[in-house]
Amino acid sequence: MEFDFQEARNSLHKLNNKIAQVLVYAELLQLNLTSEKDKERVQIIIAGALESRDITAKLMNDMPKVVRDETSLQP
Amino acid sequence: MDHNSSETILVVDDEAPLREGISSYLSQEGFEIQQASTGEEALSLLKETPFDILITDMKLPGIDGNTVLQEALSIYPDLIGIIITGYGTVESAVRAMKSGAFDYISKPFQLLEVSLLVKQALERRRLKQENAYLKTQLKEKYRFENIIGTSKPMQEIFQLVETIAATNSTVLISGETGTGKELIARAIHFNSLRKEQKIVSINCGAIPETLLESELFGHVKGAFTGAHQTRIGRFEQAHKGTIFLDEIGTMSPSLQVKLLRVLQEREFERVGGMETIKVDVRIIAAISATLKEMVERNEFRSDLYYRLNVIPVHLPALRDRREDIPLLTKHFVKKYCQNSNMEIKTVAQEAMKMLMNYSWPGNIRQVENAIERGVALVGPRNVIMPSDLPAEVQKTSANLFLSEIYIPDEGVNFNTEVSNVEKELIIQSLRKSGGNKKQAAKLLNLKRTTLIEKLKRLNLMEQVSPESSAKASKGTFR
Repeated sequence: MEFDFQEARNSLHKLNNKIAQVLVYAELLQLNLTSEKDKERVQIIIAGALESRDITAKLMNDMPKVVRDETSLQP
Repeated sequence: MDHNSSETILVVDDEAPLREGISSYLSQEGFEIQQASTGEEALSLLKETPFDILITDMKLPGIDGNTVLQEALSIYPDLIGIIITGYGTVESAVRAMKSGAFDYISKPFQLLEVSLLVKQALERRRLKQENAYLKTQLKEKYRFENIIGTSKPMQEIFQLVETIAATNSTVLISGETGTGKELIARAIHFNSLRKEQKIVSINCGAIPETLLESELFGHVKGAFTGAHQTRIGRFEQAHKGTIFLDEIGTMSPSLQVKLLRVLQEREFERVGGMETIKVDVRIIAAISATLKEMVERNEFRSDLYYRLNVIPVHLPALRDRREDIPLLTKHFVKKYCQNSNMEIKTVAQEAMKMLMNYSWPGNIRQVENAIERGVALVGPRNVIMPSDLPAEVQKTSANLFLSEIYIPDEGVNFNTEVSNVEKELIIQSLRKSGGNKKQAAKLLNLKRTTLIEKLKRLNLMEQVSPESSAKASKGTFR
């Protein structure tokens, strides 16, 4: 079965949106925390989300160029 | 908090969690936030409220983020646009910037990045507005109407300079030190078609000869010991604008040759370089000594002199236009009082006479320094007294009007002028005596009857009634 780059790209895009939500709300949470321990815990979530962001970015970069560019221009 | 809390942001995204997250964070940072989930909703809000910042997702159902930004900018050109793109590709970044965005940010991002971007954008806008304001102020400062001088020689200069400002001709300004050569050069620039570009000034006499060439024309890396990198010179810095070469008479013969070529061809090479650089520069040169005499003594190239001397402007020494001294004094008193947050002081008549009679070898610059000193020494008094002036000015005898005399080219009517002096002496003495004719006559070493006779002859009887004399008895220049 041939690998569907288009489908993979769309999935990565959705994943990126979810990572964005995790990052945004983790930061918001951290902003209002007073306990240092809790802040450290939230920092682990942020670090994990940032690492996930790097992984999706690498996967996108590794995809054939034409597919990447076409999908990025889709509304 | 380093921003104004009244700054408003519109956040546009169809994904509610992200939009609300961004809004909540920026709201906690002190911004006023409104939200929209579609392009249509955003445009309707934009029509009602002038937002400072628009943060919009590029992909929106219906009208997309780029279009929203373009429309918003057509209504509010100062609006800051930040576009959120999906995973960053060159294409989406280019599209965002083409729409007029200040910057773009790719998902997933940290809120801290958004906040930093917003603050950077606001700071850049503040600098842009400040720059525009300062440019306006600068243009205002160098308007001819704002240069002080109502004397005939200065009026003639203003007229000449106003005419030549619009041209591209080289100007040679001559005049003693402190006569305002640089001020006139700047006025020419800021009233020319090049006013939006830079005016670059260099005092050729203040830079050692060995460095002047590199300063004017730049140098390439390795051209001489210490030339660690290529550097552009003042001529290149002034491209499209004006260069002001002060004290041009001090230039060495070899540099004169290079300058001649710039004047003729508008091109040169950097020191140690092979590439010919072409520049579009208007040249204004200035000199304190008489350049023509230097040419006669073979100290200055005659061909360069004629190239520079296309439009000569000679600024008169202050002692040749003493009638401008009161105006200049008033201007500097105001300037230095305002600088020190003081009430504006006045100058005692005796002090003004001394200022009028002194020869001012350092011209306007020296007047400015004298007044700065006077304002510094005046303390809580409202009037600057002779003792507040520099010693050399105090030594000048307040010899009435003798050195105030200025004879214009068309001459004067002797009898009228003498009669005016006579009138002035009588008015002053009556002011000093509070309108008392007997005392006034004593001050002038005249008999009372002679004074009354003169008052009648000069039609002054009405003017010097006790009431009007009392009103005018302040005895200070305002």
